[in-house]
Amino acid sequence: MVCLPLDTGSDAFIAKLLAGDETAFRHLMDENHSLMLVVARAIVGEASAEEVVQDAWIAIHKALPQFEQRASLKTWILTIVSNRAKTCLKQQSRYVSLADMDGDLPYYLSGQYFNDNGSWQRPPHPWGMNSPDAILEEAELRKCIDQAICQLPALQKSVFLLRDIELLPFEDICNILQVSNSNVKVLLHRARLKLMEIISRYQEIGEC
Amino acid sequence: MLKCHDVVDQSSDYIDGELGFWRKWQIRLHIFMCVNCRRMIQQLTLTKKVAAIIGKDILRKEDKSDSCKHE
Repeated sequence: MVCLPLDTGSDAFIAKLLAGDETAFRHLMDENHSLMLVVARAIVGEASAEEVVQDAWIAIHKALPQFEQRASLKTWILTIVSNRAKTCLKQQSRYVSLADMDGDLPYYLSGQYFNDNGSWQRPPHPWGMNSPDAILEEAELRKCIDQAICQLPALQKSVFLLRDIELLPFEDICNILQVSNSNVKVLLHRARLKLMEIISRYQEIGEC
Repeated sequence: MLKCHDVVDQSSDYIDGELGFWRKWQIRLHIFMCVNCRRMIQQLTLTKKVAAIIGKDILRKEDKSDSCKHE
């Protein structure tokens, strides 16, 4: 068992990678493969995502010696996936619009929660489980949230994972997904509201 | 004066600190007075925290293909 620095963004880890350390590369794959699939799906859809990510890994392996550390390693990798996905999309001459991949509006934005003067018609119910720990301890609810994240439309899911889990700057997300700053924010907001609806519903009726 | 609907629209930007000075204060003033919007913002903040923890698990699952696929 080789002891590797866990943080794939650390200088020591990057030095190993640049020196051609295969174990480090393997670790890089373990850490990033899922996220790369999420990004690829947001651009090319389900059918070609695996292929795009495999191509991207080959490109990353080849291009690593040229990695200049101007961006973070994660952003650099995701930019390569994004470029591959866009090339793939051009080859398929298929255009995927934001509307196509964005799914239904969350209830909170659909208007039915507010009256004509913009105040609450159906105000939010208080939550019984009111801390992260209380919510996470409820196994069934945890499963509901897990499923809801998985079922988010591809572009929303991608924005949500890049921003709220990977904490990438909005600017990087715009470049990776080729979506404007305001659209990234709209997608993130919709994803969070959908997850909030799931939690609200569970707190109210005890199921997904 | 901001409407509740406007507060909900901008609530993610608000909790992310992405709003300008005046808009941030307008929302702060609104939620000081409006219990429903205050509750909504608290619930959204909680959702963001919880979803980040669960989302991390989804990305880190040992299955190197997509961990959502087999659901």
